[in-house]
Amino acid sequence: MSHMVKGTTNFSEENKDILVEALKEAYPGCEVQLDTQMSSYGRQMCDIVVNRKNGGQLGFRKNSEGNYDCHTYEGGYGGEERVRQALKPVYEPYVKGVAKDMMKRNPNLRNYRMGKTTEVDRKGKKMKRVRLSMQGGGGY
Amino acid sequence: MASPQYIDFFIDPETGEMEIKIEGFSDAVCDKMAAEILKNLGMTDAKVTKTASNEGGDGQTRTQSLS
Repeated sequence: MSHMVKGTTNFSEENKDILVEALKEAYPGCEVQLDTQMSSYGRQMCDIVVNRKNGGQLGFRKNSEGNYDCHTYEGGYGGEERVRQALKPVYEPYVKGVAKDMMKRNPNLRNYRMGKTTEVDRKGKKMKRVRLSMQGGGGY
Repeated sequence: MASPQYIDFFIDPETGEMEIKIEGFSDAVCDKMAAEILKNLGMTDAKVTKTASNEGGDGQTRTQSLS
């Protein structure tokens, strides 16, 4: 049988360590601080603050659903768009981190490996594909 | 011949939208895997579509959508 799951990725509190690693990979040379205030954006207290080498500071605060919301402040305009742009490099390493964690913990995936990320066209949309397949076969 | 087993994660790097295809596992494992992925990726708005059961040997297929 097959399943198709569609939805939007959220950064879950349970994957805090994976998110921190994904942020480090997304923003090389950045500094990640935990449980600290942002230096801007009303000096909000955040669970994770990322000081990027280029592009300013990002803050992640846990919401009532147990997911992290991202905040940034750069000049006061285009907040949501700036967040969207800032998060673009984070999704791939985050999803790979979550998938690797699943492979460690799920006995059904014990003999699986992660392939290289490839760019694919999905209904006219450019997407990145990460495949988990059985070692020595099982994929194509 | 057994169908290939794999999990594909399709990521839209612009928006963080995801499509995940879980292929070739038994019904029970496939259900569990989908639930685990939904939870791990915090996909609260997710739509799950099941296609084609290969169990039972009757050659029939079934589909089920959850949203």
